[in-house]
Amino acid sequence: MLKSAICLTLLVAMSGLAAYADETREQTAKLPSRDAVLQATYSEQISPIVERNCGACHGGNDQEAGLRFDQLRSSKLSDQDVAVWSSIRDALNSHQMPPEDAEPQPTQQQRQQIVNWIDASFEQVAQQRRANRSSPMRRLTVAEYQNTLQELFGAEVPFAQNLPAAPLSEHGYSRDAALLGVSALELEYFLAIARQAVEDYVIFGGHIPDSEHVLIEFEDVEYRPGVSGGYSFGKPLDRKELSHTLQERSGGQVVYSERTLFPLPDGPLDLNSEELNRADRQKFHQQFARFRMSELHKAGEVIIRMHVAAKLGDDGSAPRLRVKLDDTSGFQFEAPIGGECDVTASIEKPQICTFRIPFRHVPNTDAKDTEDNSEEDNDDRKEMSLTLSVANVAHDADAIFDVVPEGYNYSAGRQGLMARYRKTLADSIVSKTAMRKAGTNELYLDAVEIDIVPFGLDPGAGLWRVDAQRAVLNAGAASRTVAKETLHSLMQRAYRRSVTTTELDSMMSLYDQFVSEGDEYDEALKETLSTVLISDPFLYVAAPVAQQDQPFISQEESSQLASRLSYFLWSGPPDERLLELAAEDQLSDPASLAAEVSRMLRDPRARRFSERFAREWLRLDKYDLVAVNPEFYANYDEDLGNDMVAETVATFQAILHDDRDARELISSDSVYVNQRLARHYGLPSVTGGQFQATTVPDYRTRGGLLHQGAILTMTSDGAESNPIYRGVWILERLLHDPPPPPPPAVPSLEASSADFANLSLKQKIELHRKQSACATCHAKMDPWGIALENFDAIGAWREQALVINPDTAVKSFAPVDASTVLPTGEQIKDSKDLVAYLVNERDKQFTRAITWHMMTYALARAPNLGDEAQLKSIHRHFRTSGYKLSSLVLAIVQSEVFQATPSWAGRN
Amino acid sequence: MTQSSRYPRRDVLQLGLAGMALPSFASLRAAPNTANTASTALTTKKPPVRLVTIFFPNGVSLPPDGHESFQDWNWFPHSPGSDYVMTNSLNPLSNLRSDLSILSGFSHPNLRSNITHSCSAQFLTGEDQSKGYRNSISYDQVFAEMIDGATRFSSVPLSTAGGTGSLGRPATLSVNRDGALIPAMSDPQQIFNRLFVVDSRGVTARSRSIARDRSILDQVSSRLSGLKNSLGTEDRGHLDSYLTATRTLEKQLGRANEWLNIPKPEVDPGLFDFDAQPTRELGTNYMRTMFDLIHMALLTDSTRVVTYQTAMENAGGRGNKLPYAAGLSLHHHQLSHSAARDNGGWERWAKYDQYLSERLSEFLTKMAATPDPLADGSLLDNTIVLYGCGTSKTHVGKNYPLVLAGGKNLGLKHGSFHRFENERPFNDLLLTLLQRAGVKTDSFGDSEATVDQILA
Repeated sequence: MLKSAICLTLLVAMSGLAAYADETREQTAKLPSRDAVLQATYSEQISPIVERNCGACHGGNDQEAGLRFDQLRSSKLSDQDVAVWSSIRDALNSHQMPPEDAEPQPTQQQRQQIVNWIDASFEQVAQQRRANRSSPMRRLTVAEYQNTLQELFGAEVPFAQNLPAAPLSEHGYSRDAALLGVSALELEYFLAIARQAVEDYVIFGGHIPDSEHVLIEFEDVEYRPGVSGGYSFGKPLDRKELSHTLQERSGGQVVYSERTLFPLPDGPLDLNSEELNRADRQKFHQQFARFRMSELHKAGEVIIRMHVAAKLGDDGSAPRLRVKLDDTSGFQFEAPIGGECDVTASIEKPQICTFRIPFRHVPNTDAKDTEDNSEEDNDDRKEMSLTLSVANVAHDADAIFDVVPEGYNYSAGRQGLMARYRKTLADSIVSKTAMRKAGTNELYLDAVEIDIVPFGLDPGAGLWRVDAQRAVLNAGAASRTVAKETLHSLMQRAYRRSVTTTELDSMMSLYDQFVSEGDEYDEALKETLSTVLISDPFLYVAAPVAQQDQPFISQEESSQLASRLSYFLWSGPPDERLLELAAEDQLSDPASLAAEVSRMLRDPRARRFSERFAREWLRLDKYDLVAVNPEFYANYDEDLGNDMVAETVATFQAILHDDRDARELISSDSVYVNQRLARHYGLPSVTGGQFQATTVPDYRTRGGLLHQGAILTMTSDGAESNPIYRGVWILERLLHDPPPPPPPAVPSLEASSADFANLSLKQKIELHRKQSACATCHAKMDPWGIALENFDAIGAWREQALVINPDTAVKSFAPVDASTVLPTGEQIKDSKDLVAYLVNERDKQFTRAITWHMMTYALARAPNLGDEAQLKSIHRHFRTSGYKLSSLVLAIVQSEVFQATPSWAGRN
Repeated sequence: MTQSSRYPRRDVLQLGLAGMALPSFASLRAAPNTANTASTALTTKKPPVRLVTIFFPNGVSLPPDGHESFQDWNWFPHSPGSDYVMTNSLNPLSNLRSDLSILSGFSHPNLRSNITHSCSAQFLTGEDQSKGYRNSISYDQVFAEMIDGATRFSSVPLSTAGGTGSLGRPATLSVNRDGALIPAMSDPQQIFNRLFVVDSRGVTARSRSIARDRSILDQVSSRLSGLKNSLGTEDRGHLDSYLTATRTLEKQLGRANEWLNIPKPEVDPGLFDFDAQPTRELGTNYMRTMFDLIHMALLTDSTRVVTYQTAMENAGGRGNKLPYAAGLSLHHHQLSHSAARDNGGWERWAKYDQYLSERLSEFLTKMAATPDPLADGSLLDNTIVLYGCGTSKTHVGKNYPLVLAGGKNLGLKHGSFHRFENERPFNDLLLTLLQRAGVKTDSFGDSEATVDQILA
């Protein structure tokens, strides 16, 4: 009696199953598991209905929409299975399936039976997921790995630049735990990278050399054709000489280089001419200068202070200065471009733009094996020289891209070679005169001060020092102590927690082995330190801690809350403060956690999070996959593309970091644009390349993600806009209602008939939708994109749409019709209307979508059925805050699911 | 030090063919499999099988029927069979007719409608990209895995751009079992050094370094073996992936150890143009040098698996300027995009197709003229060479232009143009080639059947 009572309770709990509880009770005298009950129900009741009503189109013979019931799992559902069953439930509920004209149709009761079974199965899955909830062990992404090494060694250099490229998850995220494995190839790279880092940044004794200084007056820079490297070297100075020279020149008249830098034209540069393309040819917008270090520093930072002034363009445009170190002889830079700076200072009073470029020198070992054939500079000196490239990267439609022969040293060099340059001098004067007449801006170059700082200015730079003197003084015992100390502190930083004696001893045993096999102490230590950097506690977040070690570290160190927090909000390792709090088990205290989250979001490192999340949520990676066809968009070039992507990131960052309402992402009357984008969008002009908040006038349609160049371009094919891609993007990213993938046998949107080729894309899409195989799905996605038809394939406004015949490439124009009817029946006039509808009627769906996406990012996995209650409560917090993204972040961090301990922790 | 003192010429036997030297026979005979029981399956009785795959981007010029360039410059011959006529695009290969087949009508079903600039990363796998990047092992790596240990380098991926590129712009054709892109080498000097130049550190130092690597792997994996039982299923999966990686590396180190005492073949560096770059002036030399290096790598049995991507699928990469070397005024991406627009555009593009056919022809001719030092016949007779592209025209993912050459001793039959009317899965062809290479499998990716028409 007792048994069946329990069984009854169980069944009642399974909503909707009560209808046939009696039958089931008969069969369950032995108290089967819930799984078994559901399974039995499926095979006895659900399966027959499905087979009869759905099998013809979704079975062994035919697999419409890629679905076959005979192979669908009905128990132990994976997240993938859940998604399939969920769409089946929706199709049944909405009577989309079986199609009206299909026979036989299930009865209403049968429909309900299936739906109830699905609901009960889902509830069962949700319970299991909740019971097994844990924070996954997860490998660092490539970006996180690089940030971690950079903070560990205090050097912003591209440690990970040679790692094989890594894929994104199905939903577009790089942090997906399931995706991030370690292959042998990657492990090999991790070891090579670790060794190089240890070699460069762990200092054995000695002192860090002084910084060096160079001052280059641009009027003195000469070009000597035929000489390797070409340009003359700047004057090396020590600190005293530098300050003396600076003082001396501060009083006098400013002397500028005769050569001023003009802006770049719009559109791609003339790549047809190899002459123009060669790196050592000076162009109108660009000037080189060379300098040398007096000794080869393996790693450090170049600090560049440019003294510059501007002649503003007639339209008020300012020159934009970009400096870059050219990678010529084994130097590596994370960003060879030190940055950009709008120059507005008058010629009377030049301004100083400062840039920092960290570098390291990794000699090409392969090249060293062979003789060097260079006629000029001997090898060592070449190794120590760097080329600075200075450019005006403002764009002006009237600018001309050409080589400039000025500024060459006519007296030296080879006469034969010089003749070529003299020949172009006349052309150059014509071009220059034309640009002056058109009133383009010009950049005036006065001088550049350069500091070369070994190991750089970062607080962590030069951190890892081994007391070599003490180590060798009393070889053996002392060197072992020194090694152990260094190893201990590196392990703590690398493991991001306290390290137990057992762990340290185990690592020391490797050191001892190396020494016993005949390695010197420093060699043995370097190898052991490198080992730390490929071990799992370094490479993974929430790597397991051995049972016997757990009592010796705090619970929060064990559960690695600090790391999970910092890799979420900083894409990097926790700082001292987070580690200290975790060591004292203080971090998870709600008040302290809230304070830390708010501190972390204010830290500049949080911009890594906001940028990465924006890029992955909005799938900006797809921007790279689009090749804009210059044939149709002559004004488009890479710089404009970069500006577009930067705009989207800047918009998200402003809304997150300025604590604004997330709904402004969709609807806003202000945009972040620079001079070029403002022109592209037809907005009132702004000056310079810096992004500025600008109010959109009523007569323009801009503001919000849907009106941004990056989004509109990446949902095109480089020639034509594509309403389907645009619709899918809106559904996936803004509404989290992704359409199913296209079934395998459906013809793509292309046809050979000549009539078809002349249709506008909207007409083609409408035709496509009439094909019954496509109709159901496309009716759901196309209308969203059609509302954006007033934007061309690079996001510019248009009233006429370009139609390109794919066979003949004949172009014609058709008037744009952006009116559409959404699947829910709303009449939409145009994109403004769509934006208004989204923000007024779909705001909850939109903010739920952000919640889902940010959870996916934060948890390093997509939320599953077990997380639904949490998603709801997080969204509630988000809503009551007035949709502040910072509140969303905090609610996620404070949720049980984010705080779940790893599977191995706290189970002893 | 001068070059001649470093590579004594008297030790380098000239074969009598320009640009080629025979490695010392001692080093060839000392292949480690004679001492290594693990690879006894590959003893000298079985002739070596080699697999070379060459990819070019952006498709080929296919002027529409009726266009003035259609007759002479359409890449595909106009009618199938053994008496087919090569158009100008393929004509440089005419002397090699009996050593090659032209194929049309192949494509990867997953990639027919979704063609992006990333297609070279799926050319040899066929994986679906509609939900973002996904990949699996490429067919060359399947073969490389099977013969692992037979040669010093299990495979040599090459490309003009070098590295892996990004997932949107891959710069390699080879993909490992985990779906990760395998970095390719691009610099002739670097390739030569890796294949033929002796590590300056000496045997003792290298042996010590291998021993250290092994201790390091031991250290990091032994930490984990003790932890496994305390983990949940998913986490255990992560540990397993890490442990598998350490074991695979261990195996590689073991392999490196076996090769440690076997000297690299001596090859005269003077035979290669290391200054060649993929530019207007030096582009032709660059491609020739790459093919010379592939030829030498095979001849010396340094590897049996080579992939080579001549350029990436976009306007940026290094290989894109190669058409300048052919005397054309546009880069590769522009050539393909402006064919229909300009007068003579199809012919202009086809001239580059012809130029590439010339490079292929030079390579195949040399392979055919070189006796295989390890087996009967020429090097070409024991090498399968697949040449082609993952699009027919730009961004059309069907009807790949393909040339299949060599492998006569491996059961391939040549001399015809085979046209398959209804697109066949390209993996059918890759499966067929894998089987010819000796891989015992009856499927590869989404393959459906073997291509019997090319079998003897």
